[in-house]
Amino acid sequence: MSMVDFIVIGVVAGLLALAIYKIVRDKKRGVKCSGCGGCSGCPDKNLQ
Amino acid sequence: MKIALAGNPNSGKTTLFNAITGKIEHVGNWSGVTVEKKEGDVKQSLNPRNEDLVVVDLPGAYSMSPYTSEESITRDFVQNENPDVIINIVDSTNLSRSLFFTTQLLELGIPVIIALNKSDLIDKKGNTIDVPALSDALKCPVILTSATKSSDNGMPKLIDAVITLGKSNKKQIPPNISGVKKASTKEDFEKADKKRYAFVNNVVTEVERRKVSSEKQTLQDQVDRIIAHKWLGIPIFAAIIWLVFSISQSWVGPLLADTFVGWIDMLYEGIASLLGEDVNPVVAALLLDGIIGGVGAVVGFLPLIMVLFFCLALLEDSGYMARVAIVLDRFFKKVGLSGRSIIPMIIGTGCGIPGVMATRTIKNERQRRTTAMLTPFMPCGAKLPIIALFAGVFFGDNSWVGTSMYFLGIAVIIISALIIRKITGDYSKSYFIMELPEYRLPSLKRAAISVLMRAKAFIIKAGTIILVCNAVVQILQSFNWQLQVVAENAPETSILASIASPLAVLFIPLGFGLWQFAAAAVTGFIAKENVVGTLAVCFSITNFIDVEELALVGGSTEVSTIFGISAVAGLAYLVFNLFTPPCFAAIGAMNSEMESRKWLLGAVGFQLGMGYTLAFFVYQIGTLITTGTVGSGFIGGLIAVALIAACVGYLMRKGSKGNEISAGMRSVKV
Repeated sequence: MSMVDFIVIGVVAGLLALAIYKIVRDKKRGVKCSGCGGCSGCPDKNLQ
Repeated sequence: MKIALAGNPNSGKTTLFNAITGKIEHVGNWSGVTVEKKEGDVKQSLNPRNEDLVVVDLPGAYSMSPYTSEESITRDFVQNENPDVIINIVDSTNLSRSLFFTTQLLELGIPVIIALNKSDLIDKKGNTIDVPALSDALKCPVILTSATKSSDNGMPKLIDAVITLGKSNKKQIPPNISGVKKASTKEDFEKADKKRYAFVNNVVTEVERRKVSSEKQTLQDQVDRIIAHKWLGIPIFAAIIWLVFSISQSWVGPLLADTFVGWIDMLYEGIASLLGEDVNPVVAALLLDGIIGGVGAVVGFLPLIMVLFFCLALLEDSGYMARVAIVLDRFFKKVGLSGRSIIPMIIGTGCGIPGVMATRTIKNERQRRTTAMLTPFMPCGAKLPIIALFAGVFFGDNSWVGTSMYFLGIAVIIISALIIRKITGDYSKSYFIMELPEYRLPSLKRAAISVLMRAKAFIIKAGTIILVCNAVVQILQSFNWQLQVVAENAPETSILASIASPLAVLFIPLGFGLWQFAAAAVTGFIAKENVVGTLAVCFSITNFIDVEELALVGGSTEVSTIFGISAVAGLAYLVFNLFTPPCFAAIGAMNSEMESRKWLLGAVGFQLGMGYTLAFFVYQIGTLITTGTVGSGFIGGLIAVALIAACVGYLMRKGSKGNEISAGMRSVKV
């Protein structure tokens, strides 16, 4: 494993951590919606 | 100060809410768009002294006696949460209908201000309304508003009046309608309602002068006679949907996608060259193919989706979609649903979740649950990349594929509703009355805002759930169970292949018995866009849109060769993904609205059976037509489909018997 490999792994891990953090934070905030793209039509604003 | 916005459906409450709060809540030119209350603060420009002004937008209601659950939200809020002021939004183009609810609000004792909305249309129609006389008759301030206008819309005057009235602490004096207060029995209420109508008619006669007699046919009536015609309405609807799919997926969409995908390609190539040759191929593939390639393949379809939703938003704003509900009502009525079920289904074309949630406007429990079960059959935004992909890869002219999937969705809903009615044994009928909104020139701004919000949500989803899923798929595809890197020529030894292969066996009769397709179908339950992302990762395709050819999927022959299935099997896979259960989030919404575990399990089972059966018939019949012989796994598939049919048939018989027994019990009772 070279230095570049570790950097790439770090970048990937960072991206995944950010994505998972967002998913978990939304879940904790009671956001049940997974981000379907229909927010403007969503009648339940509490879900967003 | 708490301000409630109350009024009839489609009187412009949410538009007015947006105008005074600066929010961008979804509005639609039809009734029933708002089914939950929404709160917001009055925006600074209308509230320079920074008063504490909270506005609550309530679902539309025709009266204080609730008929649907969203009407009861309005009634409960107004009666129990003691707002300081009620702004009653009255549609100035339809005074006689609107003021009935007003008379009930005036009796609550809470100060009421009437916002005579859509006032710009009064002049346009050549009508006149004597505002001071109306204010005298109702004993409350009346302000002319036009919430759709960005300036000179009456909002400053309205908010000033609200603050003055709210601070005065005066109790609202109701208009003098004799006999209304004493009502306690059903007969009393009916008499009181008649008196209210008589009062409203008198007021309207006194204050309003209409240029066009309501007996005469207006231009809108004449247009409706064609567009909402029982036979002509269907081909017109089909033509409009075809046009929408053509614009989004053949004409304008690919042009925009060209630039967008170019950027994704540049990013991919830039990072690839930055990494160089020294990086471990597994690590490089994780970043390039798993994350950038997988997410990029999905995001590449964003321009197409945005154009499609822009067109649908324009249609909705113009008032056309309400006519669609009328056109389809008679078909839905025959299978135990009604036009009311169509509204959630149209909303469901954006996303299944709000579509399912919109079913709460349906009072009949069986109809509500059936609609919640069937709404996900409409192709939602998340399914559009799958449609666009398969239409592009296997079918040159792709706009008819999207259109036919839309109408296949409607046909499947009608057939399914018929089956469910037989299973439940509930043959109760309901009638659908919908107030047709005025046609209007759709607002480009509203459509643009709606589309930008969808785009934002799509990108967030791509950057979270889809990114994580694609990374997991890439990792599972790169290693075997011994955690050794899978050889390049032996991907079937990977963890992903070993998990998906047993499932793939079940798909042989459907024509796509490959582990890659099975894996994509499974990840599709997390989010439907994952189907495209997973296929991109599994087949190492960076993007599906050709920037050279300006075509939706360039080198389609090449992609179809990589996929290794026939066009008929591709169509079957598309049908399977559209008609099997929706994503988990939509299933969660179904659970909330159905309020029955038994119904939910039945719904998911039914959707699985429907998707499998349809895909089986598409593949086998399609193969028979194109090659002269049935496809692989015919006997096994036939047995599976027969078992599904037997199961449904048994439940239908049981439902019919139950219905006969209850009918018998009713006749004995009589």
